[in-house]
Amino acid sequence: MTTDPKDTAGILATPRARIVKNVVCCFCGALCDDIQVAITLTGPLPRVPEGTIIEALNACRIGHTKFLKLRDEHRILKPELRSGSDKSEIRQVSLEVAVKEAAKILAKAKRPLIYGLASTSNEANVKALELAEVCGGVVDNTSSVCHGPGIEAVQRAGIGTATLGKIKNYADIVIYWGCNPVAAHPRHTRRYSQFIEGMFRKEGERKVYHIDVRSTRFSDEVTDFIQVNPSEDYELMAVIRAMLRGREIQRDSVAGVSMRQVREFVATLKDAEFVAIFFGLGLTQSSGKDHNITQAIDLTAELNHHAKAVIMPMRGHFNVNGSNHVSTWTYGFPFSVSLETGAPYYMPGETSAVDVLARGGTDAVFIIAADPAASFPASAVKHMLKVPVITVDPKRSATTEISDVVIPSAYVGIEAEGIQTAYRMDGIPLQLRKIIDAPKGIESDEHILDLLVREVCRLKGIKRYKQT
Amino acid sequence: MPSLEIILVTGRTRRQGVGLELGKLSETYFEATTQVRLDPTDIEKLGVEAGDTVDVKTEHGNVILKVVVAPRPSVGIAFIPYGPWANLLIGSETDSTGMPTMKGLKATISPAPGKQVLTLQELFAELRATIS
Ligand code: SF4
Repeated sequence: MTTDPKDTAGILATPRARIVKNVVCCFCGALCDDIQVAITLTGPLPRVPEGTIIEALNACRIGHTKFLKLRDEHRILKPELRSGSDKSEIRQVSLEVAVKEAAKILAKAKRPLIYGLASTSNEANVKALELAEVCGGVVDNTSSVCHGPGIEAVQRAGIGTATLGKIKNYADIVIYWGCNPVAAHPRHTRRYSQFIEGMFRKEGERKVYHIDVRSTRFSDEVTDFIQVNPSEDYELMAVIRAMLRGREIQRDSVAGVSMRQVREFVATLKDAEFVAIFFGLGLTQSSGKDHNITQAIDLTAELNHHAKAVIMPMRGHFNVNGSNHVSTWTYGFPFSVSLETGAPYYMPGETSAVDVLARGGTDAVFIIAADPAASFPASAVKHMLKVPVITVDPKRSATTEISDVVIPSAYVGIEAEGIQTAYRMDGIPLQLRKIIDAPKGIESDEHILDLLVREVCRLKGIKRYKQT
Repeated sequence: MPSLEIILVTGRTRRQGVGLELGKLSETYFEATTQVRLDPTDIEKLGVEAGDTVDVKTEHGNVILKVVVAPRPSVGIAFIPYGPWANLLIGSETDSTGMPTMKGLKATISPAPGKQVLTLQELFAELRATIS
């Protein structure tokens, strides 16, 4: 089955709406770039103000929600200073006052933690690193709690990968290991694997496998579902590697999978022409972590004796890949970088956000484009309740609720001004665009970070060397 | 009161993803992240029904959640969508990777009749109360 993206020209064009084509959806790392957005014009529809997004064709349900629910009651429209034991006393202030207050906290801190950066542009990432430098803090992006272990594995084992376009056109076997694309990257299979014909892969020529600890709706749609015991993926991969080398394994089952199913799978792999493995947090967040990915990369290398084989992480936040790129081209390290001595120092487990917080190793926390209060273990969140927290986010989140300073920002790729780029999960950079105006007085992450860098430099008497 | 040893897996659901974009304080996000999905046979062993509250415990903490019937067979596995509630069960040891273990933890589940799921504010208040 081939699913062509819908063209809205005939469906949505009315004198009351303008259509913007080829908009990039800034939610997940698939960064779908074929969204057709309808925006109201003057002579608004009843009760719909001008410049409102009323449709986002081609987007999945999550992407659709992002485009259409930008301006609901959870949007923050004014900077806030929050106080009281539960931070419930809110004073709305100007951007200038909020920036001054935030800069004061950061300038005073001995070892501030700057964290997030996955749901914003590369340009904002550049500014955030500068902020960490002038503050002498630790800067980490959300990859430390998603695909960070995978990156650590790549540092050890290298990686053979490809673009999503190449996989779509060539792959005859696609494996989703430890991930559920239906829930996290809903259009991935429609654009790149299961439900799309490639240049060299016609309908029915591609086999798709799902390997995970529990079956989901996705498992029903694939060629075969292989259910592995929790935390035993490493063993299964090791056995597949051995069998690809011609070893016979004298067992009835491995990691909960019957040897009959493993043998069939290995036979299919040996006959393949182009194998693509997509892996998710099922491998990085379970026991073994980075070692699971090293094993998966080694499996890919082994497969290259039989076929062309590539591997790719299913990156979650839309530009978490970009935050790794920016950090790497700036410091040589992809995440968890400490700048407290003036030189970059990288030691996951020590300079990673969860570890810094869990050990009480920071005296101020700056969060941008992330929600660690909702995604970190409670013992790490506890430390955030003890120290001043500054959050930059378009909407209320668990972290804004425990923050001292909240600065609302414009949505990157929808409202934010200026040049903005993001890296897709396969490393392809895509340019993002402003398609509607941000609410009055709301600035981009990049602009807010620039104001903060200026103010921290002023307070600390630092001469800014990166003028932009 | 019956209790059940189980393997805990946290992860994404589409509804949790929609909730993320609607807003972390939205009803959708709350509903999506305060549930534990169990296989019908495990629900029966616990003597509870869908919608009842249960107490899920790991060595790192415990949390009250609502029981939801897992849409697929998953005997012995408790699935909780990512969120502040699931994180009460996760430790901050990262094995020198930066990443806590969020899947494949040992957990115990027992019925919690009459107990309510905490709101986000109540959850933070409980955490604050434990700060020395
Ligand atoms: S798959 Fe990801 S990028 Fe594509 S529309 Fe859905 S949320 Fe957006």
